[in-house]
Parts: sequence; C-alpha cells; structure tokens
Amino acid sequence: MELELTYDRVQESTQAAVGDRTARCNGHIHVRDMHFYYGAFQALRGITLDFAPGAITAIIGPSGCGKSTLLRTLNRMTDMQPNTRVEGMITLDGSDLYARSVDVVDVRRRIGMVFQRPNPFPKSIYENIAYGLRRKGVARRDLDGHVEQALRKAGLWNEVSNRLQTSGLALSGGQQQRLCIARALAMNPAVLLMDEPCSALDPIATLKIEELMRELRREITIITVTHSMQQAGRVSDTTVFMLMDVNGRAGMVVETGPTNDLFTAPRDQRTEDYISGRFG
Amino acid sequence: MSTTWLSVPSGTRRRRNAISTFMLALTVLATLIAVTPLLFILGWLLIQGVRYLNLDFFLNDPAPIGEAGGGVRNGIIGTLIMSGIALLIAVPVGVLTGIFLAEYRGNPLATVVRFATDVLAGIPSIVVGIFVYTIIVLPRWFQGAAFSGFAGGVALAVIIIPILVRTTEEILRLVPGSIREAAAALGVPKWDYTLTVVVPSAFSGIATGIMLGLARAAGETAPLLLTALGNNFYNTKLDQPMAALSLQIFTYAIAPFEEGRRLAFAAAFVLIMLVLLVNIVTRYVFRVRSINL
Repeated sequence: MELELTYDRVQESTQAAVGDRTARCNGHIHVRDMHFYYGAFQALRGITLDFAPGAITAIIGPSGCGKSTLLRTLNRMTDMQPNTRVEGMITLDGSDLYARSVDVVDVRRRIGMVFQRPNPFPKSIYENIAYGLRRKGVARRDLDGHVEQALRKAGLWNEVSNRLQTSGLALSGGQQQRLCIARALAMNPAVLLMDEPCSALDPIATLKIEELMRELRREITIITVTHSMQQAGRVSDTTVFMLMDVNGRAGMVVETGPTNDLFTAPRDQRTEDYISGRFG
Repeated sequence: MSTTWLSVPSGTRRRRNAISTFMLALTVLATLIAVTPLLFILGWLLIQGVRYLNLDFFLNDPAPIGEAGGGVRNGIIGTLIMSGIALLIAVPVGVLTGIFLAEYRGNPLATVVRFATDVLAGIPSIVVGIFVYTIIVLPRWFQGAAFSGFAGGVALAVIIIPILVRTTEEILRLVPGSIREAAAALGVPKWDYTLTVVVPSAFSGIATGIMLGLARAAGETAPLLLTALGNNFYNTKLDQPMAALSLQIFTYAIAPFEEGRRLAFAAAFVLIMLVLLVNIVTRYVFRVRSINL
C-alpha cells in the first residue's frame, strides 16, 4: 500500500515536470547505468553521463561505437524502431523520460533534434517553422512573430526574409541545415541534440553552424555527435569519448571531461590512441 | 610492338561489338512489337471512328435497332456516373489502405492485407461482376432495385480498389524516412505527421493513381454486364439499369447491322479519347506541381 503511494507520488512529480506543457526546464540530462538493446543485441552498456545546461557536449568515437544510438535514446527516437529496449535511467531535470506516465510527444518537445543530413519538409520555408508551432497550439496571429524569432536565432532570417514562401528544398545545404535548426528551436526546447550536423556540409557552412552552436549555448543544452575531433575541439566544452566493447561490440563511455583536458591530457590510454590518430 | 593491356585481339573486339549491336536490335524489336497494338488500335479507331462522329452522336440516345442515326449520350453520362460512384467508394478505402500498408509495414495485418490486395487485383473482372450480382442485384439490396447504376458503380469500385492501394503504397514508400523522423522529433504524433507531412508530400502521386483508376473504371465492360446491365434510354437514376460506353461498344459490335458497327467504332473512339485525355491531363498537371523529394 505504502509502496503504491510512493509510486503515485513519483508519477505526480514526473507529470509536474515533464507532462505539464508550461513548465520551464533547465535542460539538465542525467543518464544512469543505461543499457540499450536492439532485440537481443546490446548496443550500449552501462552509460552514466551528465549533460549540463549552458554547455556544449561533444560525443566522439569511431564508427559503430553507439554515439548516434546514445543520442537517440535521449529523446526516445529509438521508440520508432521495433524491438528496442532501454534499461537504467535517463532523466531530464529529475524526471524519468521513460516513465510509463510520460508521453513521448512531451519528451520530444523538450528535447529537439537535428539530423545528419538536412531534412526540411517539402513545404515553404515559413511552413517548415510554422508546422511544429501549429501542432503545439500556437495561435495563428502569433505565428509570424515566432517564425521570425526562430529564423533569427538560427541566423537565417537575413538570408530568407524576402522569400519565406519559397520551398525549403530550394535552399543550399548549409541553409537547409540552419532551417532545420530553426525548426527545432521554434519549439523552444531545453535541450538540442545534433547528430553529426555538419557531416553533409562544406567547410564554410560548417563554420556557420559552429558559430551558431556557440551562440545558442547560453540558453540551451547542446549535445552533439561528431566524427571530427577538430570540430569537438572547436565547439565543445565537454567531450565524451566512446568505444566499442572489445568482446560484446556494445558501445561504452571510455572517458569524459572538459574538452581541453581530454585532448591535452587524456587519462585513458585508449583515448590518447584515438585522438593521436593511432586507431579509429 | 607487343600488345599493351589496352589492346584486345581484333577478332574478340569485333565479336563483342557484334553481340552488342545484336542485343540492341533485339530490344528495339521487342519495343516495336509492344507498341504495335497500341498504334494499330489508335490508328484504326481514328480512321473508322472519326467518320461517324458528329454533334448528334454526343447529343442523342441510341436509335431503335436497325434505324439510322442515334448517339451515345446516355452511355457517356452512365460511364461518368458509375465511374464517379466507383471513385466515391474506392478512393477512401483504397487510399487509406495504401497509407496503412506503407506506414505500418511491420504490422502482421499489413502482410495479410497486402497479399489479399494482390489476389483481388488478379481476379477476373467478370467474377467481380458475378460477386456484385450476388450480393446486390439478386437480393435487390439497393432500394429494391435489381440491375442498377449503383450496382455497376460498386463493381467498378471493387475493380479499382487494388490499383489505388498499390499506387498509394508505392508512392508513400518514396517519401524519405528522414522526413518522418524530422516530424517525430518535433513531438508530432505518428497519425498526425502521416496526414500532415507524409501524405501531402506524396499528394501528386496519389492523385495520379486515382486518375489511372478512373481511366480503368471507364473502360471496364465485364463487371457491368451483370450489374448495370445497360440501357437504351437516357437514365440518371441510380436504381435503374444504366448505359455505359463500354457496354454500348459491346452491344453494337456484335449487332448484325452495319449501322451498329459504325456506332461501335465511334463509341470506342470516344471512350479511348476520354481515357487518354484523363491520363494526359493528370500526368501533365501533377508533373508540373510535384515537389522534388
């Protein structure tokens, strides 16, 4: 009886933080001893990490080590694949993201995502931003303001303000990616996940995105997966180094720390090998 | 000079080129054989059909058997009405089923439905006619009517449902998964983004499928024999036997009168032009407006 009561209380507090649409999040993500499975295959093992607000965390590591999978567990995009299972705990500002009472829709509105390849909707630039806002219930008369604000935040407004009605697909690759960032920012998330956001872009477009990330850092927690150690060095405050388990092929965290420390004085031999280019 | 790695004995080279030319000739020949019936039919109908075409042909109903003149006004109207009924029934059923098959691919029910749809597509159209005859015509299910335009429309709907299902499913599969991910990552539920992002992205393709279904419905004859029956008089009432262009072609073509054969040619010409027009207009309209995914 008492147990049930406690459970109810936990549910209530969960609902207060995540379920309530007006609550403001700080954007603090804790991952505690998290294991992730695709069917019988274990893809992530014993992940324990903190992602602090107001900072950029870069996740680096060789291909196939589970960087993207880890990122996708954080906003439950992994729900979309059949037969996946998460064990352990992932919380946003203290609320369990995988609690039964939590609606995945609310999780994703708090934790936005930008993908590897720019994927604007085949709609106008304006409609790309307005789409999510409408789903969220933003009144029609407020839409214009919100769209402009999001495009300004993503540094795209000056380039597109005179052609908001043209297709989002008519933009260049870098502009498309910033449109996708604007689309995510319009939902006012506390956390922004970026899955190798520059891997399909040229160096100049990459630079713009990196500048943008540094500007956004103040108001939003950013977690980015990157293949490029240079990029991790340039933009991130904290770096997480991941590797595949030698036997089980499950991804695990080798070392995490302030980016400068990790790159100049890695504590683990494997981290040193990787960043000095000896493997991976 | 001995041979370098680039040079091949001239005999080998000649044989390769000969085989290449021969295969090219084969494919061209096969293509010609494939389009010959189409060109022959169109050409023959043009020659035979156009001669009998005049305004009266479109404005009059069939004349009594053996008399000169007469037209196919009632057939054109009947074809349009019954194709319309077929679309009203088949579009919601077919398109929604197609969406289900494409968006819920892993669902066990989807596998069963996909198989059933394929089987339905392969059923001879006369059997579909008998089916509708048994469930609607014989029991006088529709407002006490036996043979009726409504029954004809239902039979045509059964014919085109599998076409709509498969075209919708195939078009939706062309919509990249990254777009679904983008919408899901914004916190939009699946049913919502399916209807507001995925389907609109494929709208032009779905519309093309619907028009192809319409063209198919307009040309079907066998399912109408046992359902709409045909009618020598002008009728727009759904609970009465109804004429159709395809039925008129059938009736006139086997009639033992010279006049009948002329009417059959002209009616066939009109029907083919109708179908061709629908095809061309749809392809043109939706090709221009389609967004490059």
